[in-house]
Amino acid sequence: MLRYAPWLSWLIPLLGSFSAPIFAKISRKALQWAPFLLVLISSIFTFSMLPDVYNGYSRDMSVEWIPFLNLSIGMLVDSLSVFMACVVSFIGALILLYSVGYMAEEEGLTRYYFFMLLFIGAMIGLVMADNLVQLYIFWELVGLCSYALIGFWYKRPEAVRAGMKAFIVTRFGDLCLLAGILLLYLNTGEFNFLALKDQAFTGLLSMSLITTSALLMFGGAVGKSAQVPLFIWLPDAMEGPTTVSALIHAATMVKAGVYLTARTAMILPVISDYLFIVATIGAITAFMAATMALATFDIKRVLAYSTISQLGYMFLALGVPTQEGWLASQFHLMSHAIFKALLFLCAGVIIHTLGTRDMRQMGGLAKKMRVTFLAFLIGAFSLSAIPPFNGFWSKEMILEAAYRMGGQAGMVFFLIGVITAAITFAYTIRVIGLVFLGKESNYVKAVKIHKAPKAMTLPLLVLGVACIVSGFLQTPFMNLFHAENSHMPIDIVSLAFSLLALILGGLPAYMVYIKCSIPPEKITEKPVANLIYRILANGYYFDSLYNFIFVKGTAVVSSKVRKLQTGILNVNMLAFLAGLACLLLLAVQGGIL
Amino acid sequence: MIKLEYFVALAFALYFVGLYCLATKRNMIRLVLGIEILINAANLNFIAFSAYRAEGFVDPLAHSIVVISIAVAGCVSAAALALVVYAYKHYGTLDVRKLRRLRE
Amino acid sequence: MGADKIEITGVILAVTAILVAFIFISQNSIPAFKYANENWIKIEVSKSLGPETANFIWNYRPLDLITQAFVLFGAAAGCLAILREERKEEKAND
Repeated sequence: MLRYAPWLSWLIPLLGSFSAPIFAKISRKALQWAPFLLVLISSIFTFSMLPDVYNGYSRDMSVEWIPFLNLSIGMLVDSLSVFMACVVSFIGALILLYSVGYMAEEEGLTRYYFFMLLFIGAMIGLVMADNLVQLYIFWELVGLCSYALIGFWYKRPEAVRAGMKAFIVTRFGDLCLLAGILLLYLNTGEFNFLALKDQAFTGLLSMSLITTSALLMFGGAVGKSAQVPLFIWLPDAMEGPTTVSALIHAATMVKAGVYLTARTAMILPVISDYLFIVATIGAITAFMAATMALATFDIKRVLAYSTISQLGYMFLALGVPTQEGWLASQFHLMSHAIFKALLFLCAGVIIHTLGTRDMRQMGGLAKKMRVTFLAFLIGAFSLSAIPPFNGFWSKEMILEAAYRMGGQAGMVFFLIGVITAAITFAYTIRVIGLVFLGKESNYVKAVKIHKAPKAMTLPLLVLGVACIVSGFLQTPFMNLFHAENSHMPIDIVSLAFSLLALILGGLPAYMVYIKCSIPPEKITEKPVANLIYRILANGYYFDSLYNFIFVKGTAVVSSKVRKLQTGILNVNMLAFLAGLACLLLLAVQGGIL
Repeated sequence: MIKLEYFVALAFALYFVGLYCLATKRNMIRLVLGIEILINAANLNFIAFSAYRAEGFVDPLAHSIVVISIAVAGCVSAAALALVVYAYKHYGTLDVRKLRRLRE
Repeated sequence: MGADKIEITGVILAVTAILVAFIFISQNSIPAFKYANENWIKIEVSKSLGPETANFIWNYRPLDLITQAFVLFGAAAGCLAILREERKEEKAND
């Protein structure tokens, strides 16, 4: 481990973000390349911590901040945090390299790189934090960066609205998280993870306290990782640039919720009811989001729904009360980060070339954009869990963990996982069929397709190789977390089920979208199918429900309250007088001075 | 000596008279007079409390505060009356209920 | 009518508040300052109340007087600034 590696790995991007205007003053090229170099250096630091943690090193370094409140700033160097920090910095570096090419002609680049570097620094700080307050501070910081980056093109009203929606919806989650943190602090007096673990495991805390605070912190994870009640912000967050979507909403920020839940499972002896709730929400989300991805025509929205669905898988795995489930979720986290970033970056190449996000205007791009097609195929096959790509290995781990859980709940989770895998393959084939295969649409014929700059294709290649290779890294992965068995034996039944699901999901999609034997419009014309299609296309009406309750509700209430504001001084002073009279009445009645 | 409670009651009464004037009257100059009544109520309260600390002792801190308060009250009403004159020039009326919006 | 409503509400509230204040004061005794400091110098009240107070203010609070003079001067300058006449365009362009 290099000297000061835990601190420097997140301080370098943070300080770099504050120096972004300086780079901008030097030259535009400096502004584009310096962030990539900074995150590359930071990733060297994070990867340097890997060998030590692999050998069992684990330390908590902290500096006292406010002794009165027992607050300190510190870094917890153990397998989970270093693992996630490596994922974040690796993908962050690749995406910053990609944005050299993607954002080359944009204005406002200083703002973009400021927030990107701030985000990467805050995310690494989040995963390496050693106490809950520091985690919360960095949690809010990544939320702020997400808001600023979604609304990057602030002149478009949709982007502004999407940014506000993301911030406000995750706010609800953050409130729950804060409540959980404060509940734990008021009952234990500690914020530090290891101290909480000592107190919790020696039986000093009651089970109801542990369950309540764990559930509240899971509420924060629901908000940040876009699970069922609070997922509406993620599809709209695709208004931001594709690199932002790749970094924040596919590979890193949405994993913060998964990280928090994993950490909670490590430090608190949670009971199986809590884990059951986690797995249920994960399973419901996975299924719902996968079905919603079938009905949307914006390529980035499909990937967004796919992200929500895969995050549901991770929570499903976390909810399995064995160590296999926990490990499966972390492995899926890593492989999902890689293949989802790959998919988003390919979509970015397409959007950069064609200028549109609507899949109905694309078609037949396989011949003209070969590298992108190949990379997208690798990513798509990883997403659908086709052997031997990494998605297959990680999803197999999850499904096996659910299958081995046994009991009624285990079977239900396993079946939902299998069905969602089928739907995943279906929408993946739909995207490939609509975008790459088939006849060229008139739009594609009219647009001149230029070669993407090398800065954009190099990350695609690296991520593609990582997709293929990282699936076989299961044994080093299990050793990193010091698991009991260093190898997951493959169960024949679950393997058979998942392959069967692939065929069941893939064949209809192949018939409709690639061979084009049945046009999709004819399917949705029938009444039942039409109803299902409309429900899916409107996102199960969650958006409309929240709009009705919160947006219109607030508007109605505030229009009634507006009548109180007359602007006449006498009315205001009258209210003051009435208030004082009430206070005096209270004092007389209460008998206090 | 008169009991302290009478003075405090009188200060309360003056305070509420001043608030009533601010809350009810329409003429802007009357509002300035209301502010003056409020300040006088507070001054009276100060002086009353200063005399009842112990038998035969008057706390001079209260008197010093009140002297400065009277002078500052004079400055406040001077500035307020200047504002009233300026507002009359702008709006054409001394009625405070006509001044409802921020920009006209 | 609007004006009368405000007036009537104001009268009712003010009278209520004064009555409640009187009830409140008559029922509780008002203890004067448990926390004031205790080093006093006794004087003859009836003989020299005025000169003693004036001496105190002169000896112990000159900074307050300077602040008061500053506020007075500032208020006078502010009133003059508010009541300045509007200049015509030609005079400003000289």
